Amino acid sequence: MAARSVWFDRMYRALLGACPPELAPPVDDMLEAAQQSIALASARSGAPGRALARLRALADLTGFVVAARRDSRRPFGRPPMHLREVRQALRLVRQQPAFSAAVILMLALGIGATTAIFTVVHGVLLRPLALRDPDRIVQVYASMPHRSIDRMVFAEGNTWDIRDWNRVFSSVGISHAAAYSLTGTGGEPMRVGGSIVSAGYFETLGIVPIAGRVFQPGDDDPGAPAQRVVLAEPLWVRRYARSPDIVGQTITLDGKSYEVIGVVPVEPAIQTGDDVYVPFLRRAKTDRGSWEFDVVGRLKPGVTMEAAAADLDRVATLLRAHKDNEGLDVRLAPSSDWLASADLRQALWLMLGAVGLLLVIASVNVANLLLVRAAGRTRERALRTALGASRGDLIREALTESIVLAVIGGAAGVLVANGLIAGFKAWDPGGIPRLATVHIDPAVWLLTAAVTVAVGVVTGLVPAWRSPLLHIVSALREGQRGLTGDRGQDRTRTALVAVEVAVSVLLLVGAGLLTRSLINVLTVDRGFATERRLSAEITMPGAYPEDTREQIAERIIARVAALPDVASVGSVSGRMLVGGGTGMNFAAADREIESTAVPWATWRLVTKDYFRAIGLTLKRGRGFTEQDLISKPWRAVISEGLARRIWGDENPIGKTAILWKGQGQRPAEVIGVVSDMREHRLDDGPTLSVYLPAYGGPLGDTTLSLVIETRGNPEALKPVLLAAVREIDPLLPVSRMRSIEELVSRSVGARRFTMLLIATFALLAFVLALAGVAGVLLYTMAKRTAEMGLRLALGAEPRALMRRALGQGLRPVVIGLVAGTAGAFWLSRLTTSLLYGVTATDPLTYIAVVGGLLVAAALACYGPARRALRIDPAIALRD
Amino acid sequence: MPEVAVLPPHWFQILLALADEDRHGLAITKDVFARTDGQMHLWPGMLYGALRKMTEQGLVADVEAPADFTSGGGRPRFYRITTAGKRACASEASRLARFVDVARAKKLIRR
Repeated sequence: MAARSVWFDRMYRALLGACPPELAPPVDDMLEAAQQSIALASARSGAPGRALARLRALADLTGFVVAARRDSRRPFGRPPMHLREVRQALRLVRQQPAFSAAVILMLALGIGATTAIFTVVHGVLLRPLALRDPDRIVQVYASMPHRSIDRMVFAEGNTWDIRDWNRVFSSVGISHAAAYSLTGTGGEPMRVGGSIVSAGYFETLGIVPIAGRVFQPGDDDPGAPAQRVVLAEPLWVRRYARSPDIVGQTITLDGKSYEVIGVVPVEPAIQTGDDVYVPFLRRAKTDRGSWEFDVVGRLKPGVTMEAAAADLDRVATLLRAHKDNEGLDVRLAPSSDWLASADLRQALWLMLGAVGLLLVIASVNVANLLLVRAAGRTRERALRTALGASRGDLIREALTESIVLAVIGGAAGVLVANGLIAGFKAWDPGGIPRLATVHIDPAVWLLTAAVTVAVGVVTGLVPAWRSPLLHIVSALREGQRGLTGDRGQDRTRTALVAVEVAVSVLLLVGAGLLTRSLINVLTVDRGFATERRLSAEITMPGAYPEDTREQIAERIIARVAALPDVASVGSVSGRMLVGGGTGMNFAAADREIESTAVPWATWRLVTKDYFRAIGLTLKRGRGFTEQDLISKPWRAVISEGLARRIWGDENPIGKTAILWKGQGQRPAEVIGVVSDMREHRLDDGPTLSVYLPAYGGPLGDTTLSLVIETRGNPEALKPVLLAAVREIDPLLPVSRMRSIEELVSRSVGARRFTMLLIATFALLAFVLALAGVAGVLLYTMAKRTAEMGLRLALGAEPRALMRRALGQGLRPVVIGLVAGTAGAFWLSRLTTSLLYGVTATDPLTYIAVVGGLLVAAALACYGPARRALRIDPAIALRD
Repeated sequence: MPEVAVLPPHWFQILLALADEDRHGLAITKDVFARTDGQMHLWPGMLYGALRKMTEQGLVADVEAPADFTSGGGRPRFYRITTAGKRACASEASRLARFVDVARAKKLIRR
């Protein structure tokens, strides 16, 4: 977090604006002095210390402004009424520091947490994409219902046809993810991500260059210059220090030089990791077998989504004429889908709901505290009524006080929110787009202000509404007994406690279900090993001939395998737990099967020791050797689940399978069966996998992805691995060195984030609710001290009195538990899509929550009840 | 000129800071902070509140910033001790010195 903060400056200036101008020192002097004072006070502490110092500075300024207002001798005499009330409220806040601190702390927690989560929801989901008219941009995708493929990318040839044949888009962009090895000026060799994009890509997204130009129509025609590049802003900053001179120079990608024609900003939701854009040129004879291109379109003015969908149906009919496009549908989705997956959306809204409930509990507690205090001032109010104060006066006064408290709590809440947001960013659980760019912006300020005022009004209205104004005479005459308040107040208090308990049940059930889901995901049988495993990627320059790259890959694998701390090493053509990947239709040659029943299997090219390195066991047959060359002849190892799906209990070894059924049709011999693993996501079923040997070509690919089984700590191997690769070729970048444990942890990042936050809110709610339960009983018991004394003196059984007291304390708890459980049953279906291995009505979770709350509430009531009974009857009666 | 019976400790420290040179608010805060080893931190509200009252009582006066003074932005208001301020500061110092003398006489501190 920066040492200076804009919101603090704003708040400070605003507060200083309340000072009578003739007494105010220059604003800049004050602000500068405040900043320096904060630096002085928090020189040795981190962000929390700085936040405290800021709060200190605001408190200090408040004192100054209040004093200045008091001393200002305005020509028109007394300040207006509401200012006097504010001043009186501030005096009350100061006079009862413990009470005020409790109220402000609760409000700060409630408002702060709400602000923080709303900031995330707003920044991640609601803030529009940094693109021109994002609601006119649509994603176009392929769908093949008969093969149960809901959503996939297009083959090269189809993308150009969509661009040429559609009548609804003003422009179409085609892109394909790529990675390059960047060498030459500016630093070490590094791996850069990027996209191969058609000329319409930037126009479609509405991205305007920061420097130079972007690709223009015609830049993707056959024969246009291919070696041109548009840099993305992050790389421009990182490597070229924002130098505008880079435009026109050349950079080296995969050993070839490219001319830099421009620099563009990136939208983090869709272009994270993009460093370079190179042109995607149309070829005379385009490929239709390899499906890997993304398509986006910008709708022409006036064209609706429905009209566009109808037009794409027409395009799809034309496309289906081609034999590779059997059953192809062309669909579209709004660009807002980029912002977050449906699951993440659900999780974020759920968090906002949860934090809202926490705010409700905090407000209820505050209302309860204010109610108790109002009861204590019954006599004072009655006296003032007798002296001529109207009911309106008293209500306005109560409201002023609660709003003043809420505003202080809200200001402290903004500090809490700032801390929380900084914490989220530092933690970055992974899987939440744009998290790094969220901040408290005007929309958030507005919401926080609205919430603060609403909380102030609501918490103030409860006691104001319950003020017993009609019984002035009795209130005055009763003297000390006026403290007891009336029955209406008691009922209100009981109702408030019931609400708190009910809301806690909702939060605790939600937290319980999510916690069980996370545990289930983490303990599911993954199939692969996670301990002592390291993964890494090495990028080979495209300028090296393919057989050179193959030799280098073989040397690297041999060199790494020979390292003393390495037990085994294998290469694989796709990384695990990152989603996506290569797939094929897989079928048996010896049996006919409906085309809709053909399974879609993931395929990977692996070296001989991959199975050992990742921790899979060979169930039947054999694994690969270096003599198994790809396609000469075709041989495959398949996963257990796939074998069972195709051949049931029959032994598949020696059988012939059809790889790429309906696409390339390669007959292959099944030579082995290995155990299953969950390769894509831990919360998906075991992956159906086909493994093919990487020998005889694939190792010469530009990316070499290694999985290494280590003998010791995988972290310790990282520098050794780097050195070993550098020895073979110092120009090769090694990237994404991560232990498999880390990959697992990152893959559940969003799930863990949701679960931890909701669990934290639930815990806070639990504590606040218990405080409410105990507080109300303590108060009731204190009022009834005399009655208890009398009963004891008359020979009442202490145990029976205790039971009565506990019963009284627990009555609202039981009401709350019943209401909360019913509410949770009804609301928990909102969490269904986030649950794994547990149903939304999981009885164990409900029983644990209800039982736990009941026991905790009984314990919380025990203390106050005992205290009331331990009193000496003589003393109780005398008082 | 109004009499100040006992100077509040932070007034005394502000006068001490201004005794040898004119300073702006922030410089006073820093001087006092350093002299008291961080024991007394004059937050801006407290400082300017005191300076306002001390100006009213004629202990300090605000003056133009020196011509050669440059800061990050703008020209802050400078404060100068007045004759009355010097007198008040000296009388507070001797009042405190009397206590030190007592402590010394009672052999609590040496010298």
